[in-house]
Amino acid sequence: MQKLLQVKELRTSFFTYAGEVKAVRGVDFDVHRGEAVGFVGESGCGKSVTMLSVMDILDDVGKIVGGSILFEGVELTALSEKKMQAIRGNQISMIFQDPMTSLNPVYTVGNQMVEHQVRHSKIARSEARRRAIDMLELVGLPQPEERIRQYPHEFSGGMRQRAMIAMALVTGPKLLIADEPTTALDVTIQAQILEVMKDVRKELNTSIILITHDLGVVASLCDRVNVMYGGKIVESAQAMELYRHPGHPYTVGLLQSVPNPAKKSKERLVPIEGQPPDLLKPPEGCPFAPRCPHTMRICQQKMPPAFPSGEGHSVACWLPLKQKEEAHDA
Amino acid sequence: MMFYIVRRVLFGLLTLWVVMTITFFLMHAIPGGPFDMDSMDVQSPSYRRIMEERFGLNKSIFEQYLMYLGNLARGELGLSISYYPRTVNQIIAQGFPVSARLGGIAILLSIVAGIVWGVVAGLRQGRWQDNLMKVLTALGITIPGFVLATLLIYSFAVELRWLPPMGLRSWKHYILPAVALSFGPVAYLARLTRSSLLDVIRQDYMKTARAKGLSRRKVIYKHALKNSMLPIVTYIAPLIAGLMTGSFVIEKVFAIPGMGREMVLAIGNRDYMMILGLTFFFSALIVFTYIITDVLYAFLDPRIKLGK
Amino acid sequence: MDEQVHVPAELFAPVPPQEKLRNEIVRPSMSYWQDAWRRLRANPLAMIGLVIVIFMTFLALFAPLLTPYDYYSQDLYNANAVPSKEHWLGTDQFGRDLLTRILFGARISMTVAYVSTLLVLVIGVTYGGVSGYFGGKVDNVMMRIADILSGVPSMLYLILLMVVLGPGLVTIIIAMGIANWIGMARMVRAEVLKLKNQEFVMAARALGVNNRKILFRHLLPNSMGTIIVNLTFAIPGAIFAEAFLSFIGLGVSAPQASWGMMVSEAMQMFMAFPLNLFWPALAICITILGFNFLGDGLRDALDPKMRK
Repeated sequence: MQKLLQVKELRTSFFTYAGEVKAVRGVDFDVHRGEAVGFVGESGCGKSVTMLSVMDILDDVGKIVGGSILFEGVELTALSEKKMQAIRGNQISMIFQDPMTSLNPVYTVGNQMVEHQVRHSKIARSEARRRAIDMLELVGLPQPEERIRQYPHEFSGGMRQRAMIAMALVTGPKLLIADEPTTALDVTIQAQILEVMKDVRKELNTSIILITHDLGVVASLCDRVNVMYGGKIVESAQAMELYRHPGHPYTVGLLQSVPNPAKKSKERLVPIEGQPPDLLKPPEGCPFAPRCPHTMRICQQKMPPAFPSGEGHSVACWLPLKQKEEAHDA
Repeated sequence: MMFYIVRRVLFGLLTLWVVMTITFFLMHAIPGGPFDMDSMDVQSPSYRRIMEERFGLNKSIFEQYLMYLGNLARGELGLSISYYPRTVNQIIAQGFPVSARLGGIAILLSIVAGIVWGVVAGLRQGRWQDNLMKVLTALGITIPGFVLATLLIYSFAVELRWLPPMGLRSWKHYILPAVALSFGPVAYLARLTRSSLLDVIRQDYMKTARAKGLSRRKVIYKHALKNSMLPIVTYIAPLIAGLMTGSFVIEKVFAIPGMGREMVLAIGNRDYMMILGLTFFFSALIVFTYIITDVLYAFLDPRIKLGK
Repeated sequence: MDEQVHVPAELFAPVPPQEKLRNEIVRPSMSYWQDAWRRLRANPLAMIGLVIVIFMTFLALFAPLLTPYDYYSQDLYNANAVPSKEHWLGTDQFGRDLLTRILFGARISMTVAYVSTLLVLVIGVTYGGVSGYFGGKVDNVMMRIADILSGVPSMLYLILLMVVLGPGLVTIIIAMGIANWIGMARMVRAEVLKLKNQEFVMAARALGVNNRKILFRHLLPNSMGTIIVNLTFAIPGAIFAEAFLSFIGLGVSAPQASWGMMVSEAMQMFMAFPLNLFWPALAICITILGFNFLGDGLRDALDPKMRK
């Protein structure tokens, strides 16, 4: 598979009145063509900010302070705003968490699905409208011809998220970034939206980045998973590998705090104690050290690099190294 | 839509009726009648009796109330006491066109200048345009209208002699009173527009619009402006109300023969019929503007369900 | 990723749990009010506003101690004097010391502002609190009444009430209280409606705490931030309104001095003696500016959305 998106050493900070908040502190990851990659972590761990950096739509105080973002071999961080606009919504689309507020309430859904099409390619409005209707049909919105004339408030939450997905995909992007697309929805609707995303992936072969804090959602859609904590990727693996052999204590903690109906045992859920680190003053060592059940001296002093741990699996943790050395010594 | 308008109009009429009733009984709660005033002590008792009869003051208060409501229903606001035998209607007919012309200019000036200024400040947040707006807004809300009017007359009419200080004979006469009248509303509207725009810019759909690759211009002009204008529409009615009370002062300072000055004169003369009539007229004007802006708002915002 | 990392074995020693917590960065926990005060202090404009407000209140409180003159004795040989060592700001058309009159004017204007705002607070909080807390039919009826009354600008009610009650300090305060409570009531109601469905109120109710206690112990204290911000903006409004009433001849009665009275007296001859107009106008402007700066700062400091 070919690399579509290659992010290296990405650093993003927010310059607030209280100081520089280092939200993303050196993140590396790849997305291949047709691949679905999940990003998992608690809120505030930097997953959304990473993606907003890729899109270059951070708010005024947010700035990319280092690293590189290659998309199809083009360095996005070096592009002018104008060239970046031609990529946004065209090559890379993004949808957001809350479908209730992500559509402009004063324009019809059709209007909002047509405006970026006519901007990105030289097509007539009528043609753009036809494509919008087709796309709404594909995401399973009933009666798209009527619906397209309606305003967002006439849609339910699930329907709005379908419309958002259709809007994102109608220009035929190579990459769809979905920022917690199911979090704000009811459980049954969540399942429907995931099905829609699976379908469009099969149908259009679009690469997907899925941001979520729900490991179950990742499992059903993604090939690879990156686990983020404190502005860094702490573990990266194929989805199944991650579930079977979680390497980082944080990943283990995440898996233990999620109920698993498949296991019928009366296993207790184990919450992770404590709070995520304050990224205004990020710790020198591993950000998870204060909450980790296995903290060692080294963890407090030095951030562990990403150690390979099997095929396509890397873990940023000192623990495997210690185990390896102990095995070596023995 | 029709149903909504009818309901809104009925509610407006109810408001007017309540206001009228309150006003009427308040006026009659004043100790002593209008002909007890010192200035009228030269009048003979018989003259006074005739006048009281003429104004229905010798009837019971309830009869007077019914009479007054009946007259109102026919659109008659009664006789002025101090301008006897002219009616309040005649005085309004004379003063209103003058006030409306000046007020209309001030409204236009307020809306156009206020919105443009607010949008510029909102888009240039933190830069000099924004800071200039903050200073001017602070001035706008701090300087009372009559002080500003006096300052304007003093500098532009007395010292510089560029513009006439009083009256309304030519277009030049309109400049100072219109500026004095609209300065406060411009400042207030600019502030409102700015905060409304900044509010909208933080909304999720703005992120969506940017993520779709729309140009900055399009994001602002299409997605931000229309949304941020909605709260402004609801401010137009209070704006007109504010201009109206402002005109009481401005018309007096600039010696403009409009309704505002009549109101102040009526208060000075304790001309209850005039106060009553003018209050009713002003109230009706405001109630009417509220109806218009509510309907306008319903047209602009698709989320308002009409007919409900 | 294949780089060789060598770690000395002793660094693999586990860290005991009590030492781990030291590493966790915990921000000092601050109460809502401490946090608000910290943010208010960091805002220079707000601090300027606070200083102005305190200074003006101080002048009003200690007016008689700060000047050798009184505000009513006339000295016609010394009328309209320019500023001098004896009269720092000069004298008015009756030879009364302007500085003294401004100090005593601060008393009247600030009393009107504070007491009428207090009255607005009492009426508004009671009405809005009851309406929002009981909800349903009670709320519906109470809010329709408020809607009807607010269909007409409060300035008109204010004028009517002043005409009926007659001029004077007490009547101004009462009239302002009666004319201006609706905004406060609406705001308190909205705040109570928002809060009453939150968990801590549900919990209190589940524990059997009675209505009165919930309203006064839980709902209102939590609405305090919004109420305080509104009060800070209501006070300059009251100062403005007092000046306006004085100007149209409905202010306090002579020889009492209020800033509005002084301005409107000085206005009649401002071409000859502009300074007589300037000083009281300046006092009004600075005070209103001070309250507005403070209000803006408080709004930013107390707004939970701004908490970081």
